[in-house]
Amino acid sequence: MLYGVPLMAETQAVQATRPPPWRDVRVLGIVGQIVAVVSVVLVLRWLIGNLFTNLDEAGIDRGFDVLNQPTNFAIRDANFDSRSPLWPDMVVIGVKNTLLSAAVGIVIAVILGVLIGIGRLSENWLVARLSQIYVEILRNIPPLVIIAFFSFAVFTFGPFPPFNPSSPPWQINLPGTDTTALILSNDRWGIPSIARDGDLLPFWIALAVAAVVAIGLWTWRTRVNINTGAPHRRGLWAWGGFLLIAVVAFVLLDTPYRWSWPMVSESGRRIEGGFATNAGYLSVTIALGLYTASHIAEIIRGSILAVPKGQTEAANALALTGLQRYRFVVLPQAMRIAIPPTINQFLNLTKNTSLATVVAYPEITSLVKTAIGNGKPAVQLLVMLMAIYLTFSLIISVVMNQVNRRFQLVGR
Amino acid sequence: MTMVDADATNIGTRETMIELVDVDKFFGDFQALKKINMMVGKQEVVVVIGPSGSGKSTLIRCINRLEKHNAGRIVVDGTELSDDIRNITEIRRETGMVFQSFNLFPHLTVLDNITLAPRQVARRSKSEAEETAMSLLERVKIPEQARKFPGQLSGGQQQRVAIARALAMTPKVMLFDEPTSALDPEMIKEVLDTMKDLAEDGMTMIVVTHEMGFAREVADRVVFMADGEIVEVGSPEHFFTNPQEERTKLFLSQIL
Amino acid sequence: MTMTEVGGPDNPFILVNEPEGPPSEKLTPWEWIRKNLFSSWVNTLITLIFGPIALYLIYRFARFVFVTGRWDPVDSNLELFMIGTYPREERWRVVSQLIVMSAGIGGALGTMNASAKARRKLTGEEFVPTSWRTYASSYWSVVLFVLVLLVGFTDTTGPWLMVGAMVVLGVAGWAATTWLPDALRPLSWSASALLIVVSFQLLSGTGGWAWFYTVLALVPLISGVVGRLSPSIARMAAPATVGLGLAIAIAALVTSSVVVGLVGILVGIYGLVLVRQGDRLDATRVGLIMIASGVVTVLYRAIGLSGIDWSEWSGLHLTMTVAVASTLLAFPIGVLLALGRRSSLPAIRVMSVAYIEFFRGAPLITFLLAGAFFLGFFLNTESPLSLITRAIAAITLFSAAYIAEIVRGGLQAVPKGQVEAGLASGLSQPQITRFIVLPQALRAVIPAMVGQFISLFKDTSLLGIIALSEFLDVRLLVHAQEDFRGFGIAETMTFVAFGFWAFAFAMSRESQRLERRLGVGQR
Repeated sequence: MLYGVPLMAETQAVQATRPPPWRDVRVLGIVGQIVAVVSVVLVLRWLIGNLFTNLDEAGIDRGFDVLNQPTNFAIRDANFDSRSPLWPDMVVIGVKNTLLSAAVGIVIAVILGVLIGIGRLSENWLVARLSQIYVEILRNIPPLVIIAFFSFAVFTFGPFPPFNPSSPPWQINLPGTDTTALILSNDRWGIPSIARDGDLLPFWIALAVAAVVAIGLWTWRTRVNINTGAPHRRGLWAWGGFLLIAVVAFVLLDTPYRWSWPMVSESGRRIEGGFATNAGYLSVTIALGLYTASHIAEIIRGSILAVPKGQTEAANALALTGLQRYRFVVLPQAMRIAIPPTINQFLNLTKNTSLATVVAYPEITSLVKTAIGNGKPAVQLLVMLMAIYLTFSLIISVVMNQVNRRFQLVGR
Repeated sequence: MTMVDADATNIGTRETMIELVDVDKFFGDFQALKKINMMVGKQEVVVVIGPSGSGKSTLIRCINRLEKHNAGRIVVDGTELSDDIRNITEIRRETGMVFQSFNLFPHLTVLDNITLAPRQVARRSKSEAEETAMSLLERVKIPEQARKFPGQLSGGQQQRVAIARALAMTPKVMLFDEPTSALDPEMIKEVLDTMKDLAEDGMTMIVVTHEMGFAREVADRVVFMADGEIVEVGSPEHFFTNPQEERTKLFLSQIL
Repeated sequence: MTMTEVGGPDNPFILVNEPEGPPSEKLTPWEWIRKNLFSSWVNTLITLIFGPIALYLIYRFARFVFVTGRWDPVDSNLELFMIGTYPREERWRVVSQLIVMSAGIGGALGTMNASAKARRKLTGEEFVPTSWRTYASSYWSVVLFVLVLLVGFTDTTGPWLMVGAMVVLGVAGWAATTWLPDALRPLSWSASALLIVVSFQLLSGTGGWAWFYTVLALVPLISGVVGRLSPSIARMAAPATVGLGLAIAIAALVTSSVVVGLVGILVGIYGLVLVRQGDRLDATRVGLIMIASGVVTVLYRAIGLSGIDWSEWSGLHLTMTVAVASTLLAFPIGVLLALGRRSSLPAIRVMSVAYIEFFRGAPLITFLLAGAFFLGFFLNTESPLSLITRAIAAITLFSAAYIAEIVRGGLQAVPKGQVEAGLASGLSQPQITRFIVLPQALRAVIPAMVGQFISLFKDTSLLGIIALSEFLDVRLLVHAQEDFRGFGIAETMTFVAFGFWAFAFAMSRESQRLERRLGVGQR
């Protein structure tokens, strides 16, 4: 080799030479993946093969047809008797009940959580301490214990009377009237609800009109603000317009909705009218609402504290007032931090409604457990149950991705 | 060698240490290196300069396969850098690298930082590896810091530990990726002095840096890169006194 | 890169001394009340509304606890809550377990303290020991719980003596290991670990995998002793010990277990490779570990302590055991899954993500039900697995997915430059993971891991759903008793809630403290 002469200059092809396959990193990578996939598939095949053999030996059906046969048990407070099939009737009721509990629980959790989260940062020592005590207690007790506490200590064996003809429940009337506003017992509660009365279509049309007007007002005020600098007060205008039209339409159309008051039936065993609910539902919903509120409070507090100090200082330097500083600088940034973990808490709450099995509230998990107890095949039912929850998770994660995309800061 | 041109393969009478032939590197659609041809001779010090984004860091990161080049060939001391895992390992053993951000292992003491590779890769005994490490620390003039953690050292000290760590595998080539850019001004000198000593001891070095003083004083050749290409190559005195290309002149006028 | 490095520019691996609050200005009580309660008219209004509410709540609660509460169900069944249906004649095992374990935990904490101190000496930093106040602010809830149990619900001296012995031995272990000379550190590690292992063996007997845990506990000692051997002795010891170890492995293959024997032979071959590579100290270590395995197995067989079956465990004891066992088992799986999720090989990544998302997507109860109803069907075991084993398996698989996500967070926090520095030094990908990435990532996730342990601890309350009598479900046994039918429900529930709370609260405080000390998340 001559000094200064390129080592491989005589070869015109400048592609790297290929090494033997057993030392080629690319080949090794592919082989590694194939080995991993094949071994996982083999293990799964072995496991599922065992499952099928064992099921067959035990004489358990492993088809999904069994789900269409009658369940042989009834669900109270629902249009479902022992002849109704598991799929889809029971599943629909179960999922509906799961969502009903989750939705109300989320509302409780958010309202309480936000209040307590802000309360923890309050200047008032008492409020800050009470909020802290709430969080530190609720967060560190298993949700199941809280649910059981409500169900057994507050409702079933608590201060409330039983509900039967010989011992009527507490009935609390509207002051000065005969109308029952609340029915309380250790087992079921009746609360007022809203019932339709007559034709709804005109009222809904009126609401749509109101919405359009509200949007119009919003746009107009925004433009006024941009053009003249006058305060826009668009929220006030838009909501005001909307409510005005809605109220006028409600009165003119002869109240298409009215209150429905709960009433003890003549037999003394049921609640008629209103919204009848049972102790199981209340325990699960209240307990999970309170438990999740403690987590949301921590998220809120952490998010507000996570906004860098420099932001507040910069806002002060711009001479924004205290409220403006919160409204335009701190809260928007804190929101961005708080929203993803809060949505995650919604998912957790929804999954936690499965704990209702211990208080016999017929949401999907406890129905599935009952069905298994009634001799339905466990494998198919639990696979179905997991699929349902996975669907919830999938929906939430899609929502989460959308939210994240919207809230992400534009940056490098 | 006195001429200034764009041929980076002229290493005079030295033996070849590193050879790059028509090397291309893409990041997605962006071409970071365009048909780079370059040679580095044994015991030669090559300083690579150029504006940020010109591909100079990518160039040296391709040499030890921190980035995989897409086309062309790279040969280090007769070993070709291909998909061959044996060659990759060998080249990484033979090249030491010093990073802009030090990249010391924060969970290990200075001594453990230096002995990790000799113990695990070269399978030396603990006492032997520590003896070597201590002599290297003396060479970079901080033996008293051996038992400390990187976080307790100043930036300049950390970078000198990083140099000692790279030397612990007795490399044939040292790659420096902007070793002084993350340092406070008063610490730059101590690192540059260490590098100078290394060059005087005959180490083959490729140095990406903005320190023009260092280039002038220590470099055998200066390579100017822009937009993924080698624009101009030459000995330091010619490079700084009599640059030929417009882009080189512009760059030098901005930083000098 | 916008991601913050763990601990920022400073070394996150040096414990930060806890930040002190701003120097508090001295206020007279009157000034304090004005400043914190009545600083403005809004503040005054809030105080006037919430003050009476708070006082009323405190009054009601105190009345419930001290006056109206009917605590007889708890009082007469305290033992049931603690150890459930555990056979009463074997109770000495639980008592000795707790006492021995206290000594072990005290020893482990003392050793940790001493090695932190020794390291500070080397690095030349000041060592600030954690003050008793700090410990008290973390653990007061557990102390309160124990005191309530002792003062409120026990009439005999036995429990007092037990707790007293636990405290004395715990402190003794701590003191002994703290003041032991540095040279004996491996001994104190092994001794502490051994005490903890032995305490567990008191319950589960000396069969099964007992030898494995015991040898694991001995590793620091063996490693430390071998490290001090002179080269000439090591030259002879390496082949001798490995040879003897191989002989033991072959003996195991012939006499007892094929699997254990084969694994032993593989380990022995690794030892031979080390001898050939000239790594005599490591070879000696491998040999000694193999010899220790043989000796311990024979020893345990000679002792022949039979275990108390899982199915007899219940109450708080079961709750604790399941939480600890599942976490320990789930941890390695979680780490592997996290590494898999970050793998550069797409197939491995996809499989890891599928596992993680599957187990995170559905609630634990569905997996517990699956465990109870058909987990056994997946395996062809000769005798059916016990319900507790299946429950632990289900919880382990479940929490592995959550641990994987936590560890992934830690892996992401390790800067890319660390891996590059490793590659540039010629380390292989597994070596980089083992020596560079994992130590940093795991250290950064310690607080989150404690958090995960808390939620696992709380989740054990679900065991009742599959008819295991853990702490919460003992109340069903209590209220099935003639005297307490439908009586004192609120009291037992409050007691159970207090028990869960005491431990979870202490751990969450500890997690916050670790977070501050490790400087995680600081900018």
